[in-house]
Amino acid sequence: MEKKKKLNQPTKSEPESDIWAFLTCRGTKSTFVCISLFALVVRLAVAIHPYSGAATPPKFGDYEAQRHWMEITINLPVKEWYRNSSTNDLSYWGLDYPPLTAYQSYLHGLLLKFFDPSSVSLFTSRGYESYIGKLLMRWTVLSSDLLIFFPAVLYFVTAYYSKKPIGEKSSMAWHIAMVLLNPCLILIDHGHFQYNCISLGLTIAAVAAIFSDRDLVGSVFFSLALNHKQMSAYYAPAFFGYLLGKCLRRRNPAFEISKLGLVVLGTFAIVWLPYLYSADASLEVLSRLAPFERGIYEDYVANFWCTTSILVKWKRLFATQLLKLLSLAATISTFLPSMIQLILLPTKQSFLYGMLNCSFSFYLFSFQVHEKSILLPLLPASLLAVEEPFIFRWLIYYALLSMFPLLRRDDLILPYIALYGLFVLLYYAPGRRTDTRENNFFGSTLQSLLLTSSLILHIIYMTVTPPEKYPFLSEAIIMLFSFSQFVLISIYSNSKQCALSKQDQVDIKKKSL
Amino acid sequence: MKKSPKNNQRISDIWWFALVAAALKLLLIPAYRSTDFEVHRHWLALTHSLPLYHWYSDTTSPWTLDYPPFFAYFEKFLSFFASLVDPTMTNLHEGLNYVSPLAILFQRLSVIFSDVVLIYSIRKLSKDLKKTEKFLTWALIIWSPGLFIVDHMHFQYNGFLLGMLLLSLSYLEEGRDVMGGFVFAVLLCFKHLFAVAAPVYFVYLFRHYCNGGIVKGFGRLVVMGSVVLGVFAAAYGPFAYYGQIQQVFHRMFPFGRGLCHAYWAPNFWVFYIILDKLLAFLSVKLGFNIQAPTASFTGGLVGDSSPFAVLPTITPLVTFITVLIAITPCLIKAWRDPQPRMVTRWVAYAYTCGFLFGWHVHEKASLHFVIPLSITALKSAEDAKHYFFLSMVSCYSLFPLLFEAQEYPIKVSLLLLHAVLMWFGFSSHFSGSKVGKASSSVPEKDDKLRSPNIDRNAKFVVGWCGKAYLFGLFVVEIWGQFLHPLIFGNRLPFFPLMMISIYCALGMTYSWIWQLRYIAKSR
Repeated sequence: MEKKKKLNQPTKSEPESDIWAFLTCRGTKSTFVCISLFALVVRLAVAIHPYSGAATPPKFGDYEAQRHWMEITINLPVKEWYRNSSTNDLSYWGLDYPPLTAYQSYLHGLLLKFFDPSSVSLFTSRGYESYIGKLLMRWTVLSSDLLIFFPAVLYFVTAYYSKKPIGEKSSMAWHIAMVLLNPCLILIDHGHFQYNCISLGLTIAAVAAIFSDRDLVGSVFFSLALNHKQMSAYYAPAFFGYLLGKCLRRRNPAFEISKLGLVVLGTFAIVWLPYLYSADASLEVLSRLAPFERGIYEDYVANFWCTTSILVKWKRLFATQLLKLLSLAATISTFLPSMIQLILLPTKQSFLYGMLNCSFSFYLFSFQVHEKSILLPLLPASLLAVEEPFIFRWLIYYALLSMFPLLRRDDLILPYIALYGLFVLLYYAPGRRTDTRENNFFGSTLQSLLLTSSLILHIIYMTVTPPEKYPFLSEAIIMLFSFSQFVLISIYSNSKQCALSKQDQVDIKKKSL
Repeated sequence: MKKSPKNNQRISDIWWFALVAAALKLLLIPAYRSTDFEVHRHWLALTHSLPLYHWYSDTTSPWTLDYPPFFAYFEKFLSFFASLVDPTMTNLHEGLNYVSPLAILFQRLSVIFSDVVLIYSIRKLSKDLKKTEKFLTWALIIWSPGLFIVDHMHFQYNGFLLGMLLLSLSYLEEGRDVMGGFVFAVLLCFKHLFAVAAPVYFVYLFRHYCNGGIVKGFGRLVVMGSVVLGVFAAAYGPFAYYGQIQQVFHRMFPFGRGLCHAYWAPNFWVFYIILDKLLAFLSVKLGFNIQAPTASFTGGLVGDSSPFAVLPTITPLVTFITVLIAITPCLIKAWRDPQPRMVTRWVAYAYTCGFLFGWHVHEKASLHFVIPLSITALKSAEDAKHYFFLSMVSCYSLFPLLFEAQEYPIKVSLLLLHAVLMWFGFSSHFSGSKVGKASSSVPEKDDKLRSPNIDRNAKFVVGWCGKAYLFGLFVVEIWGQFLHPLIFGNRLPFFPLMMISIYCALGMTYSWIWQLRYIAKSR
């Protein structure tokens, strides 16, 4: 079972300490095959656990939402998908993702219809749950993962390591394992039930294309990601900043920019083709994508609005309109520094930091954020895992903590524990090069303290009934705790990007001298 | 499960392997469980609620206790905790067919925790290996797909029993014969199926331990005898005291069962049955009047009617004698030259014979020799080749245990992962001249130098014959899963299973011959 990782400089005295050499000596592809098979087994094993809203009428959960979309898309004509009608009740899990999600639902719906027609029949299939239905649904996620996310990671790793010296390649296996075995992503996609692997996979593919200097291909992939889940817009400032900055440094900026613009518009046009016949139709779809009526936050998400609502009752004090503006201003002002840096100095390294910073500012300040959206900052963090192992680990810990209440509702405690443990084990796999930055006494004491309190929080949440007056006390504490760590990480990573660009400027000046 | 990272850096590497496996085992908790789950649950209830002298005579459930007393004591031990976790689980009557999330969690965790014995003995066995060899050996055993399928999905306690077997073998390899004999005796009192290797143990210990002149030899024989008898007395004593001994043996050896298990284990008798069918078919074609047999091979309890149409019927005694004859070559070797370095192979060979020729063999019994053979897999390229082949066949023959759609991709990817790991691991370890040279060609193991058919620079290559056979596995699987239902619909439902049995039996027979040749040639 397994494989895994890594690498290592001869830190241990034995000469054959490169214990994973048998995996890595055959090149990227065989390493990747091995690790991805293990990642596949883990996903399959998580998939046998319950999904969100299992056996909880009348609304069920995300699983039912996805199934309902398949039902709608294969039974109604394209134009009706986003329109409220007697056959399409939008108040019952109406489609609220962009058209690519709808097409994906259509394809998967065909598959379900072939093997289990009653699971997607119009109306009568509401709340449909069965052994085979669950399996088929799970397999649609798995196949999306295998067809999009896994190849994208391979593409990324190939591009990322192609220019690195041999010595640094040793950490490749570990890096692959970190990206493929991200516990949060596996829990949400294969446990809770969603298709984040598609939009995140497309984003990784876009990053990989950009790392191999194929900016046009990268923008196509990113446009597709945007058209699968509008949340991919969290990365948009980084992509925009980097690509713009790069174009500006070319000989013919206007031409380069218009090329990119055309490619993006073209991709959008193709995806939106069925809705382009009238402005109303397009607006109808657009309005479904921005559910402002749901309020600035929901549940207990560890972002700025929800956390500060303990002190300031945003929802009560301000009109939605004002809140929209407030959150927009806050988001923009927080991602702006990072984006400007990218425009001024578009290097690949700072591009990844930029993605992390921009997605964090959206997660922390934008309107209507869900706890699952922490997956978006996690993705660039996982791509940066080799440079910033500590940040990645820390973010995983608190992202997991922040999703704990959600996963507990889904009855996914067991996979939560198993994947948490698995992540720690993989992170500290034997033979890994130790990061010297982590060996400082003060830091490690503080770390242990924080980790212990997070462990205690888990236990309290599981066992203690909160006082009647504050039924969501533990959720609130978990949220506060995660929020504080997210803010710290985001500050660190912003300053890191800043330092990087200063460093680069110095380098460039030196060269020009 | 939330290990603090600092502890992690210090844990020894083998626990890393074990914990990774444990994480996967945790994930598999809700997977399909066979009736063995209820069997073990019932034994918990049985040992918890009844006095010892009723354990082997109770008939509340059809799943009567048919393991030796130490296993019953083990269940009794577990039942203390079980009754704290969920009292209904250990209730003899209300607990029948009882399933609750807590009960599942408890029983699954008991399997996961009992694997500690396996980990401990592997650590002991591999302590003299070099690091890369250690890692490969651990990966072969701890991440063995067979153990995942049988123990952690199907539900049994093989990991812990095999751990004891390996522990006993590691004592023998170290030359600590009394400890080796003691652990083996204990193992026999946990599960008597392991007794197939008892003749090997007997001959080996008699020649290796009880030597050095008549007086010293006799003294040692007495020591060994009293250790073994002591273990048996501890196990069976209480039952003998209550006059239950006959009842215990009656339950432990249910010869009323048929020659084959419900799904035919891939062994020699599969060929025998097929030959019989073929002859009967031909005879009928030629105009002879052959009566169709009324009994089946699998159902036991059918009185005297023979399940065979043409060939002579097979009785437990016949299988017993066949097994003994098959083991004889290795007994002779053990008698002539009892070397510790060969003992693992001899024991594995004995289990292979038991598997191939035994009465009512379960497909799971192939683990009894596949797991010990992992220890020898890295000794030479030939060994690696044989092991690669054998472990694939053995794991594939376990596939019918998990027949539900949900586990299907899990078992397939477990096997693929195992195959890929073995492939990469073996080929870099035995790479002839290149990368693996540093690790595989250092003559630090004298047995490498002494064994005749070992070329230290040999490459790990699976020949076209092996590749063709393994590709055949793939064809059999595709046929059974997809083409057969497509072509025959629901007719001949046993046919795909039969093909798996026959095809894997070919592989098992090859492995038996290979081991036999190896043992015969060894000096």
